[in-house]
Amino acid sequence: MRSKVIVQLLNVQKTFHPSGVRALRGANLSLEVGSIHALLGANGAGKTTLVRILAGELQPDVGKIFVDGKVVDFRTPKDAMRHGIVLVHQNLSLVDELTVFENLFLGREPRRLFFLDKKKAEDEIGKLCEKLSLVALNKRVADLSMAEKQKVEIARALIFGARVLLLDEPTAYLGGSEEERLFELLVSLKRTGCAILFITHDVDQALKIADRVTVLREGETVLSEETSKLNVQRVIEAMGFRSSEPSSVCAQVGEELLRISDLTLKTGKRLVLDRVSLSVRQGETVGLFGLGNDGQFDLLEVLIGLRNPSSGRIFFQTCDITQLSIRERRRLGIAYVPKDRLKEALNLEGSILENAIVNVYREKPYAKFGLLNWDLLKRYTLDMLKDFEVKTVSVAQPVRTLSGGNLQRLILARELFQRPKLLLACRPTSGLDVRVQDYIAQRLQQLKSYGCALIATNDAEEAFGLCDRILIFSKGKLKRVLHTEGLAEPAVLFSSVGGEA
Amino acid sequence: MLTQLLRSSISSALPILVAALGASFTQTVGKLNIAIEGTMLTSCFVSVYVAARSNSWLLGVTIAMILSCLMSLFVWFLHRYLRADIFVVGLGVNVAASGLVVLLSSILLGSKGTIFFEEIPKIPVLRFEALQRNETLRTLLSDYSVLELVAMFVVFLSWLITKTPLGLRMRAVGKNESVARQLGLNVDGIRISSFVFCGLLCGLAGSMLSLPLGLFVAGMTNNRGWLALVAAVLGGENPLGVLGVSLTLGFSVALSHRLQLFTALPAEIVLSIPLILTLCVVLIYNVLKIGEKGGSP
Amino acid sequence: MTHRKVLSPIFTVVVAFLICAVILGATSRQPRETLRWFFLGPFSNLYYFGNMLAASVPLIFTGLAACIAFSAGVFNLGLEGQYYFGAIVGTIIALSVPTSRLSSTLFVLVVSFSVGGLLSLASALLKLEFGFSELISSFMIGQIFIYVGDFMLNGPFRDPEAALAATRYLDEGIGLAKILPPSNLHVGYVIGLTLCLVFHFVRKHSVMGYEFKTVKENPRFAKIHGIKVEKIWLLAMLLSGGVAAVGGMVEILGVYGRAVRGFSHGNGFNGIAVSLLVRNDPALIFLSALFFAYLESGGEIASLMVQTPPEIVRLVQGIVFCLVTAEFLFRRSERDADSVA
Repeated sequence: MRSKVIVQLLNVQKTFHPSGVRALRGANLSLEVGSIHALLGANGAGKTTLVRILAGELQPDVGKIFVDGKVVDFRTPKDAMRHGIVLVHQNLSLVDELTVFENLFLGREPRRLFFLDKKKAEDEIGKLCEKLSLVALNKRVADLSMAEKQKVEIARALIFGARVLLLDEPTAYLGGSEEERLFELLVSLKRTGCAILFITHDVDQALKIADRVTVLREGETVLSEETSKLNVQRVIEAMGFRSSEPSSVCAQVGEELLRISDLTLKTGKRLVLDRVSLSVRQGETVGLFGLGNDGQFDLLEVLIGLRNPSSGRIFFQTCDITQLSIRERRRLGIAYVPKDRLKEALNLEGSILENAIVNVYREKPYAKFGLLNWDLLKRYTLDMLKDFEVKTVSVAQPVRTLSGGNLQRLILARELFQRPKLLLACRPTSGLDVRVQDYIAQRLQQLKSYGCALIATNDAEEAFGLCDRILIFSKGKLKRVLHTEGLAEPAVLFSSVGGEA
Repeated sequence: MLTQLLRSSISSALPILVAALGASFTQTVGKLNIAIEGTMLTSCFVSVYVAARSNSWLLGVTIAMILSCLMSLFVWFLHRYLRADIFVVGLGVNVAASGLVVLLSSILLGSKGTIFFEEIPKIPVLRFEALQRNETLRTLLSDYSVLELVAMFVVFLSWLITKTPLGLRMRAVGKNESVARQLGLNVDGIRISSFVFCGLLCGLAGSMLSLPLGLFVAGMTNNRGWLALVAAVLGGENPLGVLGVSLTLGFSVALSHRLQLFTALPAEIVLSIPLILTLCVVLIYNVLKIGEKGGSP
Repeated sequence: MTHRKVLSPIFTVVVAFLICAVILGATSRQPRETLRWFFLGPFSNLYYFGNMLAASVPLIFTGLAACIAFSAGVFNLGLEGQYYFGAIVGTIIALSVPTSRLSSTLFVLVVSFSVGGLLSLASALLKLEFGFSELISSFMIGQIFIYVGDFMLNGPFRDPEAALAATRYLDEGIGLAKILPPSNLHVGYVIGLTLCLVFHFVRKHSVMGYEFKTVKENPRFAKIHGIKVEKIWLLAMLLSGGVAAVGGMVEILGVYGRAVRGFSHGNGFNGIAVSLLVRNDPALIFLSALFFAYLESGGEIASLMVQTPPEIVRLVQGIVFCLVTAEFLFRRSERDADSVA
């Protein structure tokens, strides 16, 4: 039996401004009533852009969207919703400060006279809540787990009358059993006639759950086939995973540079880091991996000195740096690339020059008697930009005019140009195209000859691509250590965490 | 003595409370309007002037409310459509208002000092005969002017609004604008409505200062608008919190009046008492809040 | 970009003039006379002109004070109180030191600087220690000390022979030299300009200037890269309050010769608008201070000659405030600026 196509995308293209990234170069997709569709692709293949276009959040430059066989033009998410298309975001779009109940009905409140009719609302969703096992309606969303939040989002989509449900990496934050339950839910929704599209990295998962799989590669649809006709090998090939090239120079592992013992961090009552101990030697690149925010990013913030640990010690080379300020730690040769590129790693209001010199401006010979030597600083910046192949017109140019890839090169250049002993980096390759990713991998390789790096990430592929050793975090605890050598693919990471959870 | 102090605290707190609720609406949608002081001052003048000319206090209050609503929308307009800093615009309205009222009073009434309106209609006072016998009850519960009762009703209404879908949407817009937009809420409309409420409430609050006295002075609001802002900031979105802080501030204003009457403290010191007390309240509040979190901020 | 930077303030000024003219014309019985005195009065003779320049002196200081705070991304709303109270304390000290020595003038200025600086530092500390917005706290602390200043002038330090609440007159020796007698213009003008230029240089060429700018533009970025954000905020607030108070003291040393109740009449507050009008560029503050002083002098002369209420000026100042951060010239629509999330 051939099922009915409900949504179709034809040759959709999208270029982002001002970065100039071509996210989509000709994507095709068709969704059928009562089916589950998996959208696969490597990082930066354009998956998220595609679903955002479908949901009306972005407008394509070229290409057509058909719903029920008619061309549509979505200007806003509301237009898409009107056709029953709802996107469940990866970073969920709920108002944290409101309760579950309020979130569910925001914008569609049933009312009696002028007031929120809670009773009527509850009746309306009673069945749904049962199905989703959603009970804590009066809890604040901020207090929910990721899995629960996701359920709330799905429930809201259904209340809004969704017939097409788009899920952006729904399993990214879920543990094994939660994942099972989500898929049960999706299957039961499928039976009621919903069309479901979900994004995933995990090929096994896609083949197991989906009826149909579409693979994007560098913005183009390279494969779209029914699951029954596919196997893992074909899909992985289509995704274009670079066969993990053997690291060219197996750098010699040297002296111990960083040692952390029993580091604990609490915020309020929450235990963010729970007695973490580890050690890193020169020549190593160590990944800190967790599925979500499992403390790996917080650990780096503690190491650079942004937060004070509740207990535990940090040793760098031979000295105890637990009490040192950020400035002192940086002087010792610790560099840090924060998680949020645009808000933390860069000052978007400033020029390239001002962004490039932030680690050195106060050191001699760049500053004397409290005055800056701008000529020297300019020369320093030009050298740095040249060395790290950052393409710019002039150093006075506002930094926001640079493309995403160039921004990341600039950040890395700033942190690596002084040859730090230890680089702390959060998600250094996220959201970048393959070329820049390779470039970063290569730079990290060079670092090994004189220093070491700690990479915090929640992206398995990234951890695999960059690190020799991966420490797996779950809820602030260090769970286990994996050596990447001899491991075949990133999916192992997911299963290894799932098994523990 | 104590009951009288309590009673005058309530009366002093009411205008602050009403204005604070107005500010709190704008804070809820994430765009705190700090033009409260100027808006109140303008409606102080307008209400008493219109009331005297038309011989109707009701008309005075109404016109004052409409006008201050327009002022509030003016702030919003400059911020939203000309991208002006809402904070600086608020300061500007406060400065402009302090000039405007004196200008108006000198043009319309030919005087810049304290102006007494002798023919102003009296605002009816509600007496509860049943309470007349008990001294304490009478002081506390009876003899409120209609304006004060209206204010209490308005306070109740504002609390009700937070329970409506509109109230919910306001909070959503303030907490997470982008999510609100994604869900198709009319963010601008919701913000405009909060500025309308703010204007209406400030208009009422201003009228409550001048109408019962039947006079106008340029310094009439005497920082009450700022006190209201403090109440709104401290009370947050919770109307009960705003109520609590406003009552405390009302108490300190009433206390300073008493001290002025019954002690030999210099007037300047007495005038600064509400501000000092407010600052203390703020400090204690913040210390407690940090203590609660139990960690470094 | 630079076009807008220049045009927007000019536009604000033009709009302010127009509104001013309309209000004057509408409220006056002899509109032509009024407009003439208001707009041309300050230029009609050297005396008025000198007075106008003199009137811009306190605004240069308070404008610079506001600018210093803005430069580090903090708001100082207590300028009025710092200006007023700092100068009063300075005056009281000045009454008890030996006069006719340059060192005592300097000493008095340092005293006012410290007093004003302490007031603003208090709100910065409240912000850092308790997370209480410096906007509200600086305003409230400022107001409290305006009352305290009033009390001091009216009570313990009042000159019993004076008709109004004021201290005794300072000896002439300690005052600042006049530049354009008989007008009020005094050396304070030069001091103000110099300070502005010094700060301009500091912003452009010093470590501190770079740190101010970075903290203002992105405090999180600054902190991550080792800049002590809290320290910068404290420093900026301290300098801001101090400069405001020095402005008040210079006004007393140069013009009043004693502290008079209410002598600040909005000069502190207007500093904020003065600074904003030139987009916080210290090198241009003297221009916007002149603009405000021009309005004020025009209002004064018009009220002297044709009895217009001088409050019109306050109204216009308020309107300038409202428009000063507005963007009249349409910016290019920033469509498709969505990032690759």
